[in-house]
Amino acid sequence: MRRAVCKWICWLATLLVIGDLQAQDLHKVIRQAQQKVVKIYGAGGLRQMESYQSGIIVSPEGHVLTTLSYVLDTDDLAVVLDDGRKFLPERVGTDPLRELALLKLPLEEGETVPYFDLKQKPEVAIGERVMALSNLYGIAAGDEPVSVLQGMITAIAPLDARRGSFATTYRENVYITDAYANNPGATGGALVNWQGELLGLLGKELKSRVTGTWLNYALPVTSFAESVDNMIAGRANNVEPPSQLPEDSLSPELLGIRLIPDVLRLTPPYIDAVRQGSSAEQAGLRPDDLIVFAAGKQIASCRALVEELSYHDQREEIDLVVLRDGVIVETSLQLAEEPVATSEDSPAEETSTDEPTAEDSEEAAP
Amino acid sequence: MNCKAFFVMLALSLTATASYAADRDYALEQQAINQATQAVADSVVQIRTVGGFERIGETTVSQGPSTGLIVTPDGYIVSSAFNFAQRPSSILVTLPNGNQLSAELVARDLNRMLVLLKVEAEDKLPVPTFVPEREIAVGQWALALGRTFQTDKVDTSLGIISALNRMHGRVVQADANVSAANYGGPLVDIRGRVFGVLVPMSPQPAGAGAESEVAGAEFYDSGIGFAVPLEHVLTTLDRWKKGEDLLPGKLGVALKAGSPFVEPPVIHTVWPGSPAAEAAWQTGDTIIAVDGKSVATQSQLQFLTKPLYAGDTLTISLRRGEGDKAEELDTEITLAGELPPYRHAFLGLLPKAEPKKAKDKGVVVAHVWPGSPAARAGVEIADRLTKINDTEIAHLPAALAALRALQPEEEIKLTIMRDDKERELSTELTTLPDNILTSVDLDQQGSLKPAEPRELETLKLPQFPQEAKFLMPDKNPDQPGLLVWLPEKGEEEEAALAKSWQAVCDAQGLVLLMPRPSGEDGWQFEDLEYLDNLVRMAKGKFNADPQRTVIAGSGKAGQVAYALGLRRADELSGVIADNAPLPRTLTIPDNSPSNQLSLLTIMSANSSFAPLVKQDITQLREKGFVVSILERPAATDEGQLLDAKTRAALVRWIAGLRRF
Repeated sequence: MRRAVCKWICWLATLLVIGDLQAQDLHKVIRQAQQKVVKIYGAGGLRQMESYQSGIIVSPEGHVLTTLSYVLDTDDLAVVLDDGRKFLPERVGTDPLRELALLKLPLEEGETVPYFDLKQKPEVAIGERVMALSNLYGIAAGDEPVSVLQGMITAIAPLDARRGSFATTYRENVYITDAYANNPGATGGALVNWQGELLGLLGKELKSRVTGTWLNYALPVTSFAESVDNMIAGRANNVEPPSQLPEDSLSPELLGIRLIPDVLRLTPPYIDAVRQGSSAEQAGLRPDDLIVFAAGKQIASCRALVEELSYHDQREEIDLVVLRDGVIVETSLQLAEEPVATSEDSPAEETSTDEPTAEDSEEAAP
Repeated sequence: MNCKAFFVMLALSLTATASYAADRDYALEQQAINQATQAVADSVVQIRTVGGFERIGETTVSQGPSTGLIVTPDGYIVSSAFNFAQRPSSILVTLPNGNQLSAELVARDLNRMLVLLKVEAEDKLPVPTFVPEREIAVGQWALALGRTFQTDKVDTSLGIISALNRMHGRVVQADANVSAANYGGPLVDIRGRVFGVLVPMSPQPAGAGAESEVAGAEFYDSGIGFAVPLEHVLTTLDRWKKGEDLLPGKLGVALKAGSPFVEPPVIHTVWPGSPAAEAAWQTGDTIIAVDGKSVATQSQLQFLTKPLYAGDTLTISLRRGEGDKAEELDTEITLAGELPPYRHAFLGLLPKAEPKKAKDKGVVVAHVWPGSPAARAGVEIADRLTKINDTEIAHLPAALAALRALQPEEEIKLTIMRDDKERELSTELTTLPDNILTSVDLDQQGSLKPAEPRELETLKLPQFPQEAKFLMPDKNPDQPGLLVWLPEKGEEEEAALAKSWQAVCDAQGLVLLMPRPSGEDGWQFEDLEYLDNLVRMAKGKFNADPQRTVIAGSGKAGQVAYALGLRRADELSGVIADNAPLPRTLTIPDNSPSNQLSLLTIMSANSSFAPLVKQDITQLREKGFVVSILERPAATDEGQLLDAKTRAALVRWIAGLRRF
C-alpha cells in the first residue's frame, strides 16, 4: 500500500514536471503516442486482481497488442480508445512464451487508427530518457487518454524475475526503467522515447530475483515484432520450451568433485576431495578450492553448482573458476571419453561405485 | 507517509522552478547525463559474494551481484554494509574492464552502514572526484549508479538532491531510485563528480540498540534515497584502513523520557564505566552545549553527536542544580564504541501485591531474598519500605525508579516502618541474582489440589486471522501475571498445557495465554508482529503485572520467544526458552536500565543444543542480562510438556521476577 501511494505521488509529480517543460514539443509527442495506447477492461476485480490493463495499437486496421492475462478471460472484453470510443475486440492470437495476446478492433471497412509501427526499431541506450504510457491503477476511467510517466533506461538486462514463487519463463533482455511503470493496470502499455517512438511493451508486476525488489520493465519491440507478424498472419508462434535439461546431465560426481557437506541453503561450494584420474584432477582442481563460477554463471552455494551443472550435457566442456588462497584460478573441464561411451549404464550405478563414502558407511553400519 | 509525500512534493517544486528559468535543450541535457555517467562508470565495480545467511531478521537478502565504488588507486573500494549483511565467506570484485579479483573486507563503518574492501590490482585504478560537501545543494541533478543488472554497463536512475544533513547529519537525500540495484554505488552530479555512496538507512528509535545493515531497505525506490558524502568517507579512510570497525560514538547516558523535540537533554541514568561516568556526570544534569553549540532539545543533541564515531573527543557543557544554585561546567568526553554491560542494582525484596488504592505510602515486603542486601540489612517480612537514601518511596514503581538511578556495590540507606516505628538500615547493593527461589522461601509448602479443568476462553485480534486461547486464574487477582506459552502442536497441546498449568496458575495468580502460529509449519519469525500486538493487547485486557509478563516456548517456539523478548524488553519482563538456542541471526541488544528483562533457559539432559545454549548464556550474561538455568529430565513420550517438578520451579522463577 505504501508503495502504491508513493508511486501515485511520483506519478503526479511526473505529470507536472513534464507539463511545465517545453510544453509545445513534448505535448505534441505525448498526444500522438497516447492515441496509440488503449485501455482494456475484462475479468477480475477481486483483491489484487485488477480487471483492467493496457494495450497498444500495432496496425492501422486496429490490431491491439496486450499482455496475456486473466483480464482477457471473459466474453465481455472491452477496448477503449484514447477518444473514448469503445470496441468489443476479436481475439487473433497469443504468444505464451512472451505472454502476449493480439486483439483486433472491429473497425468499419477502410477506417484506420493511429498505430505504432513495429518495423521501426529505434536505438535504445542506457541512460536515455523515456516515457511510460499506460492505464495504471485504472484512473483514466472516462473518455480520457492514459497516464504518462517519465524516467530513464536504467539497464538493459535479461529478465530474471519471479511472480510469487514462480520464476518467469521469458529470460531475454528487457528494458529496466526508473519510472514507476509497472503498477496494476500498466501491463500492455507503451514505453516510448522522447520522440514518441515505441521502445517496448510494459510488463507485468514482477520482483527481480537479482535485487529482490519490484521491477519496472518493458519487453523490447525487437523481441516481439516477429511474433506479432506471425499472429497477424495467423501463423503459430514456435514456443521454445523453457530451459529443458539435457539427456545426460553433468554433475560434480561425474567431474570427480566431492563438495563439502551441504548443510545450509547457502553452503559455500568448497571442494572437499578430488577423485584420482578424474577430469577435475586433470584440470588441476584441489581440495579447499572454492568454486565461484561455473560456465560463466556465479555460483553461490553447493546447490547452485549442482543445478547449474544439470543444465549442461556430459559432452560439454565446462569452465570452472575457483578461488584458491585469495587468487582466482580459471579451469576448464572436459569429461573423459569413457563415461560417454558407457553412458548406457545406469548413471546411478556409476556414481555409487565411484563414491567411496557410500561404501565406507555401509561397512560401518552393522 | 506524510513526510515522504512532503519530500517528493518539495523535490517536485524545485525541479519545476528550475525548469521555468530557461528553455531546456533536451539533447544537451541527455548529453550531460551521459557524460556524467561515463566520468564515474569506470570507478563503479560489481561485487559478488559467496556463502552466508539467506535472511537477516525478516529481510531476505538478495542473492544478486551488488555494487561498490573505487576510492583509492591502490584498490580500496567502498560499498554499502547492506550488501554484506549476510556475512559472506568470500567476496569477488569485477572491475569495469572485466578483471575479476578476490576482495578482503577491511572494516565496516557501523555509523553510516558502509564497508571498506581491498583488492590487489595490478594497475592503478580510476578514482572519481568528490563534490565538496559545502557545494551540495538541494535541487541539483543527481544520478544514482549501480552495477548490478549488468557487468559491462552501469545501471542509472535520475533524480535531484532532495535534502542535506538527513539522518542526524549523516547523509544527503535524493529522489532517484535507490535500492539493492545500486546500494554501494555512487550518487553523481551532472558534472560527473560523486556526491556520495548510496546506502539504505532508517531512523532508529532511541535505545533500539545497534542499527541494522538492512534497516531502511524497505523504502527502496520510494523517492527517498540516501548517500553518505564521499568527502566524509575519504576523511575517515586513514582510520578505517587500519582494519578496525568505525563504531557510532556513545556517551553512556539515558535521557529523561519525553518527546525528543521538546524535552531538554536531562540525564536520567549514567551508565557505569561509560565516558559520561568517567566525566562524573550525574543524574539530573542537563546538557546545554556540545563543542560550544547550544542544545535545547534531545533532538538537537542527536544532530551533534550522531555523526561522531567512537574515539572522537568533544566538549560537552552541563548545567547542574536548580535555580540560583545551578552551576555550569564543561567536560571533555571521548566517545566510546562499546559500553560495559548495564547491570541492574538489586536490593533483595519481593513486594506484597497491594490493592490499587493503598492508604499507606511505601512498599510492603512479602519476602526477603535470601542472602540479599536487604536480608543482610535485617529487613523482615511485613516491613514497609518508605525511603531509599533520601528518595521517598510512595509505591512500587517509585522503588524501581529509585534503584535504577543506583549502581551495584553502592552503599545505601533504607527507611522502613515496622510496628508503626520508623527504622533506618544500611546495606550495599548487588546485581540481580540468577538463582531460583525454593518453595520454602516463597512459603508454598501446601500441595496444590488438582481442580476440575475449566473451559478455555478465546482472544482474537481483529487484524490477524488466528486466535489465542487463555485460562484465567480462579481468584481473579487485581494484577495477575501473564504467561504467554507458544504451543507447538495446536489444539491438543493447548488442552494438555491448560490442564497441567491450571493448578499453579490459580495458586500464583497467572493468566496462561496460548497463541497459535499463522502458518502450518509452527512458529516462525514472521509471527513476531502478531505476538507483539497480542502481548500488548493482553497486558491491557488482563491488567497484567508488568514485572511478571513472560513469554515461553520450546524449540523453535523458544527461539521466537527470545526474539520477541529481546526486541520488546519494554513490554516483557521474562523469556523462558526450553531447549532452544538464540536465533542465529539475532544480535543481542544491550541490556538497558529502563527495562528489566530476565531470561530462563531450560535444558534437558540429552539435548543436542546444549553446547550452543551454553555459549548463548555466556553471551547474554556478557551483555548484562540475568540468565537462570533449569535442568529438566530428557523429554519423554508425553512430548513437549514439562514435568511437574520443572513446572513448579518455573512458576517460582516467575514469582521471583517481582524482585528488586
